Order: sequence, then C-alpha cells, then structure tokens
Amino acid sequence: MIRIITTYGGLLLTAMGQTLLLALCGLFFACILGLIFGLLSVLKNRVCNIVSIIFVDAIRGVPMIVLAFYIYFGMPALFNGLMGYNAVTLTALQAGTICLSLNCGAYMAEIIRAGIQSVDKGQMEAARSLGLPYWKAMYRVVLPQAIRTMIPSIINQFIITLKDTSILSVIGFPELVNTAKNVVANSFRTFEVWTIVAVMYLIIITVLSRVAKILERRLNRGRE
Amino acid sequence: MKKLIAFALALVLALSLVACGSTAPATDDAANSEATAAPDAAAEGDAAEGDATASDGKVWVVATDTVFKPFEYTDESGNFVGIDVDILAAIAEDQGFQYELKSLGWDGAIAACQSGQADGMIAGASITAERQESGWMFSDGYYTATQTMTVAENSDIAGFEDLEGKTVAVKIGTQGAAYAESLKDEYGFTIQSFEDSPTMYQAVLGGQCVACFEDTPIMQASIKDGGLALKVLENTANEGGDYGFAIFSENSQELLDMFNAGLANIKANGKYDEILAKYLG
Amino acid sequence: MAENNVKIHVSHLKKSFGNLEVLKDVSVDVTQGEVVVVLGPSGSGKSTFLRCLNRLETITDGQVIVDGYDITDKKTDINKVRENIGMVFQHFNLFNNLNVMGNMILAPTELKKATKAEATANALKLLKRVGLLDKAEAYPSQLSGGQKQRVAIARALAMNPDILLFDEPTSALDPEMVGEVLQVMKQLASEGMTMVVVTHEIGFAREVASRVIFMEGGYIVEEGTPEEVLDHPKEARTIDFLSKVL
Repeated sequence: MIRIITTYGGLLLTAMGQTLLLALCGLFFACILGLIFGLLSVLKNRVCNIVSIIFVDAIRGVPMIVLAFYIYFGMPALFNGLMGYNAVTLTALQAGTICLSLNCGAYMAEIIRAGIQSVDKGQMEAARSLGLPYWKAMYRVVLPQAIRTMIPSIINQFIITLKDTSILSVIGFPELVNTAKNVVANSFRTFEVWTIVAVMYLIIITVLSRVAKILERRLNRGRE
Repeated sequence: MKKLIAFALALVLALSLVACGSTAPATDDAANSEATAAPDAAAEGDAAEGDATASDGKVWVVATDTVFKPFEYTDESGNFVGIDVDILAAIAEDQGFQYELKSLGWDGAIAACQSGQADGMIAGASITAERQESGWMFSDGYYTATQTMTVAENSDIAGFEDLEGKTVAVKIGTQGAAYAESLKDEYGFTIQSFEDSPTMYQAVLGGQCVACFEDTPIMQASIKDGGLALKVLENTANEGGDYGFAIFSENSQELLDMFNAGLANIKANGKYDEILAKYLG
Repeated sequence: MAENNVKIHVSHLKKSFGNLEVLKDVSVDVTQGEVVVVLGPSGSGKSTFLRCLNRLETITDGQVIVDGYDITDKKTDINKVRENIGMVFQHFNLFNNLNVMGNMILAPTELKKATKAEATANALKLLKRVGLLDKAEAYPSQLSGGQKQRVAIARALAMNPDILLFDEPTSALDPEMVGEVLQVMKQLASEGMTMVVVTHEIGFAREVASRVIFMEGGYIVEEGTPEEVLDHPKEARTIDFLSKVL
C-alpha cells in the first residue's frame, strides 16, 4: 500500500486534478444548459416547451457511455465527412466536457423546471401586476425562491456528475479511473489501487457535500 | 468530545480500509489453498500413475480478455474464438483436463486470478520481467510478437521523429503501452490510454490521436479483417517478446505444467501450426 | 374616449379557457374616483373579469381600454400600463425571498421610477399609512395574514397607481383580521382612489361602493348603487344570491 502511494501517488493526484477539472467544466456548462432548457420548459410557448422536452428526453434516453463515444468519435467523423479529413477534432477534455454538460444539463433542466414550478404562480403574477417584465420577475422573484428548493437536488446531481466523470475513461481522458487502470496495469496491485481511488473519491465528494451544506444554510438564512 | 469520538471512528474506518486493501490478496490466497488442497493431493497421486488427470473431475477456470483479435474475439456467428481459445482447447484435449473459459476483459482477468476466482489466464500476455517480479508465473512462450506503431493510411508520419508534440493512443496495460511509454520522453509525445483495441484504432482513424502502439499480429489481423484505413510502420518494431499462459498462485502449478506439456505436444503434432494458419493466414 | 374621466372602458369582453366560456359579454365603464364592487357566486367569472383588466388573463375577444391604452392591442406595452394599475390578491403574494422593504422597493427601483433612497423613503411613508412601520425588515413568513395584506396594498401603492384592483382581498384572512384590511381600503376610497373590488363583504359594498355590479354565468346581471342592487334588487338571480349571503 505505502509503496503504491509513494510510487504512484503523484500520478493519482494529478488524475484527481483532471477529474475535478473535467467535473467543474462539465458542471459549469451544465448549469447554463440546465437553466436555458429549464426556462424553455416553463415558458408559455409550445415550441419552446417541445424543444426542451426533446433535449431532455433525448439525453436522458442515451447512456452517457454511448454519448461519450458518439461525441468523441462520431461528431468529428460527421464534420470531417462534410469538410475533409481532420477538419475538426475534439480533445478528450472538450469531448468530455460536452458529454458531461449535456448529460448533467438535461437533469439540471428537469430540476430547474420542477423548482420553478414549485414556486406559487401568484409570485409571478404579483410581480407582473406591478409592471415588471417577465424576465425581471423571473430573475428577481421566482428564481431566487426556486433555487432554494432546488439546492438539495442540485447538490445530488453535482455528486452524480462528479462520479460520472469516470465514464469518460473510455475515451482515454486521463481522469482518476483511467489513470488507476494504468497504475493497476503497471503495478498489478488491483485491490490497493482501487482502495486508494475509492478513498480519493470519498474525500472529494465528502468535502463537496460539506461545502454545499454550508452554502445551503447560508442561502436559507432569513427565510424562516 | 463528540468531535473527538467521531474523528477516532473515522480514523479506525480508514485504517481498516487500508488494512483490508493490503491483506485482501493474502486472505484470498489462504482460501485458495484450502479449496485446492484436495486436487493437489490428487495431482501428486496422478503423477505417479501417469497421465490420468481427468479422473479427478476438477474444472479449471481460465480467464481471458474480451476482444484481442485474433487471439480472442467473438466471430460473426457469436462464437468466442481465437488463437488463445483454440490453443487452450487443443491443450486441454491433449492433456485431458476440463476447463471453463471466462471472458472478463484484461483488467478483469488479472483481478480474477489475483483474487482466486480464476486459476489462470490466457490473453495474449507478454512474458516480461516486471510481470514476473510482481507475481505472474508464465508458461513457455506460445507465440512471439513484436510491437509496432500504426498510423492512418494517409498520414505523413513516418517514424518516431514525427511524433513531437502529438498524441498517440495506447491500450491500458499492454506491451504496446509500455513500448510507447519508453519512447515518449525521447520523442516528446503524449499518451492517451484506451480500454480496448477497437476504441484505440478509432482514435487514430478519427484523428483524435496520430498513431497507436499495438502487437504487430493483432494490428495486421485487425487491419485485414476490419478493412481499416491504417498502416503498420514496419520500421518501428521493437525486439518483441513471447506470449505466455499465466498463473498467479502456486496452487495452479499443475495447470501450468499441463499447459507446457500440452503445448509441446501440439507443436510436435502440427495442431499448433494449424491453429496459427487458421487465424493469421 | 368620450369622457376624459373614464379610467376603465370595457366593451363586449369575452374570455374562454379552452372550450369553457367564462366571460360571455361584459361591458362596463369605471370613472375616476369610483369604487366598483363586483359581487357574484363562485364561478360567475368575477375574478376572471378583474384579471382581464390588467391582462393577467389573455383576452379572447372585445376591447379593454385602461388609462387610454387599448390593452387588447398587442402593440400596447402592457408593462407600462400595469405600472398604473395596482393589484391586490386573495393570497397576498408577497415575494417570499424579500423582506417587507424589499417587496416595497423592488418594482419602483427595477423600473427606474425612483432611486433606492427615494423608494425607501416613500415605502416608509406608505408603511406608516398602513400601520406597519415597525415591520419594514420583517420577512413575509413573520407576518400575520392581515399584516401581509396591508403590506401588499402598500406595495401596490408604491408604484403610485391611478387604479387599484382587489381580488377577494379578505377571503383568505381569519375573521379578526378582516377589519384592519377593510379599514385601509376604506381610507383609500375616501382619498379618491379608483378601485375595482371583487369581494364577498356585503357590508363593505354597502358602506364604500359607489356602484355595485352583480355577475353570474359570465354576464353582468345587474348593476347600480348599493341601495339599488343590495336593498332593492330587481333580478331573480340577484335576489337569490343575496338571500344566501345576507
């Protein structure tokens, strides 16, 4: 165990950094996508609703590993077919970020839709009756209330997404699981390596949950 | 006070995890030796009597990779076939032992052997000093393979010198990966690790990586069978090494011995050449 | 507009929800300073009628002109019109994420009607008027129903509107809190505010209304002064309704 840590510790820490980098990139864009498609689904506009439903259903209906292969290999192949060899290539980080943000974004859209719909309709009506435009009312009155109810689900989704980065091992992104497989291949110490990896994930996720809890408490201050 | 107790509990938990991690293989070995004690005794008896191992009814579990063409793969009709599969079958027939072949993937096969869930593995594993040091026990070599670099058909990369600043694909834990690793500092390229060969090839075909490192026969068979737009750069081959059947525990020594004896027999009676001809043309 | 002092002009207003026609043909004018109380059984369309006046409900057919703006015209900037029509809801609808002061100054500052300082000063004046000066920092969840509704009225007044719409403002209140809200409304009426009030408070109608409208089945059945409609109703349906609520 100790030998594994001294020999491969640096490598695994770098990989953990890559996992965090990928997760953060993915979550950042997932929040944006989730917000856009979540809002599209609550607008009083049939076309917007349908666009959102198609996005959410399509992404939720495809396992992320399939999405990963499709984006990393399929999309460039598609573009290259149109524009000639190697016109577009994605790095594994870019493909991974797209993949995670699409996947997590679809779930975030659902969380945000549910959150907004959980806010009493009267809040929007009251804001509109004062002359506030829709988006101002949404931004100043509805979303702040929606976010409070969404936070536990969002934290949960963040944790799932962080763990889902491991799926991107299949497209060769050097995150924790991919690197661990290499370390196992070199050291043949299957159990020790996976124990270290498990503990590393455990630490990241525990820290993340704690920070999220503190944030949640902060946001809820003044509510009661 | 409460915090102190919580911390202590967490520490105990962490330590026990670590302890489990380092002792797991040992306890598994212990369990193994119990389970196989009887067959061992039987084997000793058999050795005295000669060649009648089949009578003890032991079914050996052999692990292998999922796709490692042409050594193991699933053919068009859904049968699990390949050089490894046929060699093992021929040797088992020759030696008269029963076995069950489990296709677990490369990592899975190693883990299964280490944990005692499998008795040995045949998965185009190169016989290397590093592996032997870390507990692998190999049979005699049953195939000699070199590793080479492969690039896209229309690529202008002609050798390692052209790899500066580029990314190459390897398959985790293979000799090809080790070969690439040994070259990367000298030639200044980065390595991206994939979990199986088809994905690695796809990365070169799709332009995500400029080259891949693979065992030469595998690469050639894949290019031929799959009609892949790839070319092997023959001048990039290393010295190569032998593939061997591997065990991870003394308890499977009998299986290893039978493998070696059987291998010598099928090489002598022409069965071995027949199998190679079937897959490599 | 024939007369300058007509604040709300409604002609042949129709409103359907899918196949359900809630307002069948409603025409009414409200002049400056009038307090119009709309009565009627539930399902008569009175709340829908009120919500059409600031287009919280889309209008199916007919014309509604408020403050000279045709709000049935798609080109009309409805937000601009709404700045001059306050609305008070049955369930108060205070913004739960903001304290009382936040509720009061949100619209004036967001819509650049006032600086934060001006809006705050005005809000304090209005809170004093509704008797809640000490609650400026409180959150809605810390207020009683009556207090919430008084803040809601003050919030509507903060935009300095010409017209106030009340949608059953006392229906969700405990009985002992109805009085304090009606008191504020009476005061507003006496100051000359143009008000349209949907309510079940017959006493309030009798005391404050300049006109009472009785609606049923998507039509105005009867309208007139409180004495005419409440004490000497002519229509059978009005008589029937009043006999049940009085």
